[in-house]
Amino acid sequence: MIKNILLGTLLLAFMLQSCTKRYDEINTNPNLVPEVSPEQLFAPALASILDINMSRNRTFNNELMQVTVNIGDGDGKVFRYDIRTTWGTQPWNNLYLELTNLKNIYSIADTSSRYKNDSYKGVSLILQSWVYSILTDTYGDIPYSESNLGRLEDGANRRPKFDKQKDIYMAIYDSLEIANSILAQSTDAITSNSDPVFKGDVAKWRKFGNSLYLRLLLRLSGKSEVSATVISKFQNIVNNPVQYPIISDNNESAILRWSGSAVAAEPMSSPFNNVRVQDFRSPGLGEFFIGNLRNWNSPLIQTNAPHGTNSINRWGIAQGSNAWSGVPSGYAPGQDVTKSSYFLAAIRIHQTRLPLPEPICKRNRLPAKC
Amino acid sequence: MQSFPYKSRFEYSSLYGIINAAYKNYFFIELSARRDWTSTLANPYRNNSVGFTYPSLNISYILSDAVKLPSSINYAKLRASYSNVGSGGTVPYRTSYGYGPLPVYDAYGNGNYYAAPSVLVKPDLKPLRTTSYEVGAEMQMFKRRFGFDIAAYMGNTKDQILQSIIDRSSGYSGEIINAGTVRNVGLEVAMNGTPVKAKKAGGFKWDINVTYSTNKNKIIDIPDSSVVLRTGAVGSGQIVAKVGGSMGDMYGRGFVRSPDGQVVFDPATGNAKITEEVVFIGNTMPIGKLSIQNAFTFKNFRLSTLFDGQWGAVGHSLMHYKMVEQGKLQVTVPGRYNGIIGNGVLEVLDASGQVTGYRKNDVVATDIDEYYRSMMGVDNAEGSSFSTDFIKFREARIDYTIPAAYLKKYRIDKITLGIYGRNLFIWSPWPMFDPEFGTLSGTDINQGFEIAQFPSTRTMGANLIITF
Repeated sequence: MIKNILLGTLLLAFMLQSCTKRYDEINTNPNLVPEVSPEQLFAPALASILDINMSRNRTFNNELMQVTVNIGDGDGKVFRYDIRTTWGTQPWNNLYLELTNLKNIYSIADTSSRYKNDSYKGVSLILQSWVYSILTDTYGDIPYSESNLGRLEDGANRRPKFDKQKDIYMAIYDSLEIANSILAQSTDAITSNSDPVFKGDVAKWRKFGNSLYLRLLLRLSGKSEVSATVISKFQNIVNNPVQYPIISDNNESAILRWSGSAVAAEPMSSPFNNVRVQDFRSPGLGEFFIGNLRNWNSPLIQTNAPHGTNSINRWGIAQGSNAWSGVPSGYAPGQDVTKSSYFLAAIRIHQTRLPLPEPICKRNRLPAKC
Repeated sequence: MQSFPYKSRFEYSSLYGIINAAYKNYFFIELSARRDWTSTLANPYRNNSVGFTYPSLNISYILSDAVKLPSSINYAKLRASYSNVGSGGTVPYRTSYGYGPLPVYDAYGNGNYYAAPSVLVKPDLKPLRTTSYEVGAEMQMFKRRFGFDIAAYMGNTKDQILQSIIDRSSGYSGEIINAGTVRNVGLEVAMNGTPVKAKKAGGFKWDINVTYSTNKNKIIDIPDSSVVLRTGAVGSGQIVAKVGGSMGDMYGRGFVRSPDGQVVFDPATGNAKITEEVVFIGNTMPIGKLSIQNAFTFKNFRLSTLFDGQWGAVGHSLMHYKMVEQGKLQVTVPGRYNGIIGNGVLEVLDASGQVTGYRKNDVVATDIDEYYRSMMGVDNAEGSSFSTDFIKFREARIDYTIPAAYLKKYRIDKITLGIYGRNLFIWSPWPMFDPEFGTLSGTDINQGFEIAQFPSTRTMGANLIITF
């Protein structure tokens, strides 16, 4: 009797054990996919990074740089350099997550047997360099060599060490060097549909990478410990256009064009669609910014053709009550100021630009070739 | 655009065995064993460790049947148990990495777009195991007019499956972890009694029920030096698990204090100084809970009341900080017109800027907006954290039952008329609506952080029950 019970139990246990065989299937998330191609991560990652930077630019950088003045006598006004600690987290918290996407593009393009693609590797390195440069320019020393390695397969590092800003810059130069040589040799295609910036033109990405390289070299050109090497590298790049092609005309600019749709839920629609019209128009322009455009008679604010379209100037700036004039940034609390010029909400749906120098060489009086 | 309904599925199988044995109807033993297999622990790379076994043992001894006790004791029972419980949780898909679809991009180009997850999965997820020991006694005496049930327990929970917050420079904002070992030690007491009972039927009777429970939660071991379990809305408020601490320990930025505990103010502005690092604010889990229910019956009337309370925990109030910043609370009235000198000290510095001592604060804070912000605002989690101790008058009701004699001719068995009230009063140092709050966050109840709760409602009503 007892023997039979034991036998029955064992049999039952065995049966149960066998039905757990398909448990891995049940526990495979049907809402996610385990493997993606680099192009499937590419467009959204790019759009998100621009979204993060543009939102930051509107609320913070514009106030710091005297472009806009968010009028008010309350506390915590950025234009009075009254900067609360809470301002600190946004680029850090958002850009590091996007770096995960960029790094995954690299690792998929590097190791996946299905999606091996040198061009995506090169482009990923360029974009990583760009994002890390924004992070280190904002925060100084940051996690670089050990960052974004939280995944078990990557070493499960949840507390990356901080690297010195100087070392990070040197490492970024190395990545851009590698990106240039990878892209020089790569014959792999970037899917044009997935590339909102250059429509899959690998040569243009290479130029963008090298121009970014120039800009980042420029940043350290005044640091005495490295200026000699940095300047000679700069010259090396501009003197060897075959080895280091750079952006040479406007058609090669790195621009992500938003779709122009005013609907926030559409792909590639400007993040400013999430800002209400009245909020977007609310900050006045700074007198420093609009006053100079006015005094220089800048074509950027001229509303007539060929500079403007439909009576709106290039930068979508409205005149306001006192014509082209602004509010003095950092004005004393209590002082009576009037908002005049402001950004039209129409600019929300316009294009944005990856941060690229236009005539770097001219401005810095560098060798004639450039 | 495609829509993506979220699908979720899990399955488990178990095998359960139980053996009961009794000796002379007063000594009982129960042995059980259970083996579970759950899909939530499986992943494509490892399928063998989804099963786990856990046993339990219960012993009870009816003392009143085994030996002759004094006649005042009607019933006495002693019990002891050991149990081991395992669980793989009921949340699937925490073991394999995957990319989430971004349906908004579907119309862009051809093809589907994805993004890396922000929460790290745990491929080697282990089941939670709780081993607990309990001893208890139950007794009824004085013709069952007084009784109690008392239980003391100690349980160790290992490998609790939790989501912790990690710094985003790791590339992710959270991760699934098996969190160390947590010990719970506690005592539960239930008592019932009838202090007054008239001899004749329908006379005055007073019943009382008291329950008391206390629990202490201590972290014995954790995979990292500290694990952030939850983050609050403001002031870097967070629940942090550390060895020796509790799973409910709240940390956040708070007041800079002198060694004797006084708030340090800024000599330039008169505002309170706030720490750069997070400090311990308090535990969000109450030490004890007590409830007392009384019922008085006299003839056809019955009155019952229920009071309960808890003590020993703190919570952060988002609503309080927000309303302070907007100047909507009475606490922000002092100093509005002439400034205020905060109650605390100033640092005395030597020539090199080192703190050499403290003196009484004498700086008038004139920017009152900023002053209250520094005291209780967004950056100061301590300033808007309060004790969640309370006593609540939870319920009262009066019933009147119409004597059956009047009803017979209408063929009605019983008519009861009652009026009742729930959530009648709260006595609590908590400055906002209700110290009992819980914010749902996924499947967890977010204890410790009140994020703009609605006020709880007081209910009053009357009812009429007719039984045929």
